[in-house]
Amino acid sequence: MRSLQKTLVLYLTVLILSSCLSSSCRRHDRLINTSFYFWKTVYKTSKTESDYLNHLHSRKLYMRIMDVDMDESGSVPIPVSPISFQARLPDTVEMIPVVFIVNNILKITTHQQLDALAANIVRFVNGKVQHAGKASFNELQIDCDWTASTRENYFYLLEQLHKVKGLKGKPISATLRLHQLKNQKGSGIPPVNRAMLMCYNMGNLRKYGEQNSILEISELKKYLGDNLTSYPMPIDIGLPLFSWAVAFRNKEYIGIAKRISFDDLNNKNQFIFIKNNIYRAKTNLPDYGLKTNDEVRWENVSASNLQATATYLSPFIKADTVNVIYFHLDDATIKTYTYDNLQKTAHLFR
Amino acid sequence: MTTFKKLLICSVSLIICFFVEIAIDMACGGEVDPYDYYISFFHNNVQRTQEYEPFYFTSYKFLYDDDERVSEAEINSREWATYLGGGVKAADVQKAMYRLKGNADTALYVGYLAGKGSLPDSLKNNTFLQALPSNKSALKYYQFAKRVESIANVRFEYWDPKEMDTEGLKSAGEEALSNANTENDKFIKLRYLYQAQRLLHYGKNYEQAANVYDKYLVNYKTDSHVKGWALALNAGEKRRLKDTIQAAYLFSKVFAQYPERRIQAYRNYNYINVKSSQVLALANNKSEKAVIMAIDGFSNSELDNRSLKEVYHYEPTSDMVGVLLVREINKLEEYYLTPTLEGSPILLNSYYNKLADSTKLHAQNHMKQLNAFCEQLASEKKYPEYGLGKLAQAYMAWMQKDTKAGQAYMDALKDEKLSDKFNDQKQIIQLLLTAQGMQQYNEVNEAALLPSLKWLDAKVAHEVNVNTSSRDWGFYGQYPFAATARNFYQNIMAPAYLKQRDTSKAALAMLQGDATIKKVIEPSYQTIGFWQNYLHSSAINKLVAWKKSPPATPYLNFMTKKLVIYKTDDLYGLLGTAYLREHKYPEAAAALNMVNEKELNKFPTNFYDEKATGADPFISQMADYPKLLLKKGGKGYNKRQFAQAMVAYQKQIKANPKTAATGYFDMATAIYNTSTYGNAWYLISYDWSSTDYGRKSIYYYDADYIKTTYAEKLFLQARQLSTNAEFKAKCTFMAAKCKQKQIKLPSYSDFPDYNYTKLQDAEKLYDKAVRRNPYFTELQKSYGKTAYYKLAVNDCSYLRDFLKRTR
Repeated sequence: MRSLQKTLVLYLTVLILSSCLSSSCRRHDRLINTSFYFWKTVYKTSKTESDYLNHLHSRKLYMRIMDVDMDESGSVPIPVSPISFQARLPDTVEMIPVVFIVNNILKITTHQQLDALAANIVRFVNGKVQHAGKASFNELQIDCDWTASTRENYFYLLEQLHKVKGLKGKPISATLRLHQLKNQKGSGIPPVNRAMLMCYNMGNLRKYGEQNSILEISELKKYLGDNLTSYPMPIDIGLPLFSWAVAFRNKEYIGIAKRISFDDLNNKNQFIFIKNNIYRAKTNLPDYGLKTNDEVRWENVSASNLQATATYLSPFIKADTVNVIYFHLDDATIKTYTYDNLQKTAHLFR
Repeated sequence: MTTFKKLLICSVSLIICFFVEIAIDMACGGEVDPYDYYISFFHNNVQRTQEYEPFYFTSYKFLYDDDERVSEAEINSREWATYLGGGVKAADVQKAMYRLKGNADTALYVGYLAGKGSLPDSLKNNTFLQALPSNKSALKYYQFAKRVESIANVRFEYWDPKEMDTEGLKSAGEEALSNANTENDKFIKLRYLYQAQRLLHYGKNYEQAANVYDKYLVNYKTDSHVKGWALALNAGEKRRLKDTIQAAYLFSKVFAQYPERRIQAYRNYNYINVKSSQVLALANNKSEKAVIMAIDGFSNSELDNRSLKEVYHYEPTSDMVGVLLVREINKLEEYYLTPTLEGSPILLNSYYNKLADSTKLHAQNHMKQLNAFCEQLASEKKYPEYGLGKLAQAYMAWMQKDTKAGQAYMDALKDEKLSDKFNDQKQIIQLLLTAQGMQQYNEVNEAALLPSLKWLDAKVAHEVNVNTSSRDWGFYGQYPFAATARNFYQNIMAPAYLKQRDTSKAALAMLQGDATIKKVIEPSYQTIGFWQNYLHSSAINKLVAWKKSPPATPYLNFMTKKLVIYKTDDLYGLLGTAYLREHKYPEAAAALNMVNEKELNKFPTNFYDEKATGADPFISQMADYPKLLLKKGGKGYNKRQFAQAMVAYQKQIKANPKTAATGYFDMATAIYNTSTYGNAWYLISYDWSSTDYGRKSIYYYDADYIKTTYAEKLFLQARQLSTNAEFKAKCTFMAAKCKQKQIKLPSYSDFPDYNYTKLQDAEKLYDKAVRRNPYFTELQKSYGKTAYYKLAVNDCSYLRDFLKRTR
């Protein structure tokens, strides 16, 4: 009798413990795929880039094929700055073509034009994919910051894309910006198979201040929550790896100074460090388009920031597989991140 | 009666009219013909050569014509034919080299040219292909050139993902270069070198391509145009390698020496967008400087004396001088002549507002300088067609209304031997000066003018030889003499006759200006508009008489020839309408009796049910809207029936004065209804527009059509003859409606500076005025107790507003 009780107690304890354990690790480990966006107009092989892809076991590369905007006459949509391939993609990397559609064209195109556009997009993408050395592709992504007024046309285009023979029923994904995630009533749900949530460019770029308009968790929190969990399709996560110098004159936004690097800002002959992420031009700097006393806000995404974001987002995601896609694959940009840091970020999504 | 209807009834939809006017002004603009959008008499093709036609003046296009004057294919084919000799025809070369379809080309390539098989039947007699195999170098080169077509001659299509095969182009270019270096035949060697440069260039290897040019081509001794094409490529390379000033300079050289690539060079020069002063610094001689300044001048649509003077200074014998001079004259026609010409209200393409003083001054200063230049041109006699100077001076004098000076310049040309085209232009200017010098158009002057008019007529007849209508868009832009004739008759002669109050001759002039094509005259909308709106019955009677029996005097006989296009029916219809407008009802009935019944019953469709039923103008309504067109079972009145009905009323009033009051009332109602506000406007107007509401008076019948003044008079007469208070109240109210229409509705076009504030102020005044209708006081005081008064107050919100104020 005593041994039976003992066994029972032991058994119950194990049961309770194991149930506790399993409830604390309630879900299985998620499968996390790390990928990158390639957003340049010329694809060349780069050792740095392939090293990163290898180390992070990235099997997919999301490549911008073209923008679509109206031609000079403003009447016909045409491909703008299409990518050209000076090298073939490595066999180990799968290519996912991305097409960026300028929202404004959706304001004036007719359904007939959108039918033609869908066919043209597929034909063009197919051609470019061949140039890249791939026989075909397994997913098409459309990137468009659609609004309430262009929603109808945009969704129509997406539906037409599904129907194009050249796409052969392959899944289509669409980028989703935070405001569209939050305001589903106004923005609607695009008729696609997956969405890619752009977790960047969330703050007010043009507002003078010390904010980080690229990525700031406090901003992110304003948009996310239940929205993410209840979104009616699997969501991938896009994270930023870029940085830039936002210029202000008399506290008014004057643009992004493309030629300024972080090193330039730390050049004491050119800039005075004010505080946090603000620098002031010491003299006229015509090469950067700045005048004396213009201010620059340096925005970047630190590894810790990335990781904090991943930690914050993870509980809201319900899918078993998550694609984490970094924007973007570029030597200078990614070199500032160690493999470790990027791996850790991905890991935090598990 | 709903509030909505009430609002419609008495309150003018200012806002609707305001926007509609603007919309109509913009929508009815239509597309402008870039070759005929200003009044011009100075033909741009007077020079001995048309090789610079792409650079003639038009503000609306970058190039006057987009096609190169000379064909590169023809030039190349000729070179090949000469080179091969032995009876090889250039046409055959061109056919084989440039004109074969893809599959024929391929068939040749793999068959005959490869030594396998014979020529297909279609090309059996092609002398070029026959001769080719016996010249081994040429054959080898030709095969190479055809082979690279697939990677080099690629048509650009936006949605074609295929890119230029840069790898293939590079290796092909290098192959061409190595072939060139082993080739001894100079003709072929040159072409291999050109291909080398070209293929490397197309593959974006600009430095390599430029090296080929610098090393082998720049000093190649040859007259072949291939050298020029290589130069053009080199200019492009310099451009892409950011040596932009040099690039522009090289393009200017291509422009000068290779007319088959002139437009290409011109476009590229302009895309590069460097200052001409920078390019001038690279010029080696005066000739090169002249070209650079000429390119500058060709792309300037503003008044510009500088380019002209400089080009003349550097190269006075160049035909480009003439082109620049004619450009300046044409610019003056657009900026100065067209706005200042006292056009009739029906000015062609009249987008022009009155000429601003500053613009006028600027143009006049420009003409002073231009005049000095022309003096120099004519006296120095360096420029081969120096007579152009005097012609320009004469014309500019005419533009500035200095007939005496103009004639003096013309006289100076008396002993000059001029080209046929110059003589034609001289005749045109003479006609203009003569007409300008006439104090008025009388029999003597008209007879003196006749020979020139006949000459012009013959010129137009000779010029127009196509199956088209003068109403087709772009017609007058293609036919300068037809445009000159039209401009003269409709913008100079017709207004002059109008000034002399000779409307019938003005009408003839308008019609005369419309071109006759193969014996068919299609009156323009300007002519039709003039005839429909500006002719009193007296003028039309003259026209009818002329049509019935052509006048004997040669001038009038000539001017009345085109009356054949109008049927007598049309003229009597016009006459009847004019009589109606003049309230001459018996005469109207008589004239309209001569018109085909079918024509008379062609009513316009109404906007309620889109039917063309006509209307009963005797229906009296308190409100203008909604219009009641017909009573139940009633029929629409055509013009004749209306005239007859009015005659009947007039007789009745005379015969039975007791019924005069109601008679006058009915007549007044009918006349009110012929206004734009009524249901039967078609009785006196050929058109109706919502913007007619309260517009300013333009036509002689606007007193009825817009202002309803006669209707008011008759309503008052009816009132005077009656003793019945209700009836008198009604007459007063109707008179009030008429009075309201005499207040002009403010419109944007009243203010030449489109001053919105002034418009708003004017609208406020209008709003006040309609609420202070003088008849309102009478209605209140004298008829305030009638039942009709109550109806009126209920109906008219302006009346109510008036009453509120006076309480």
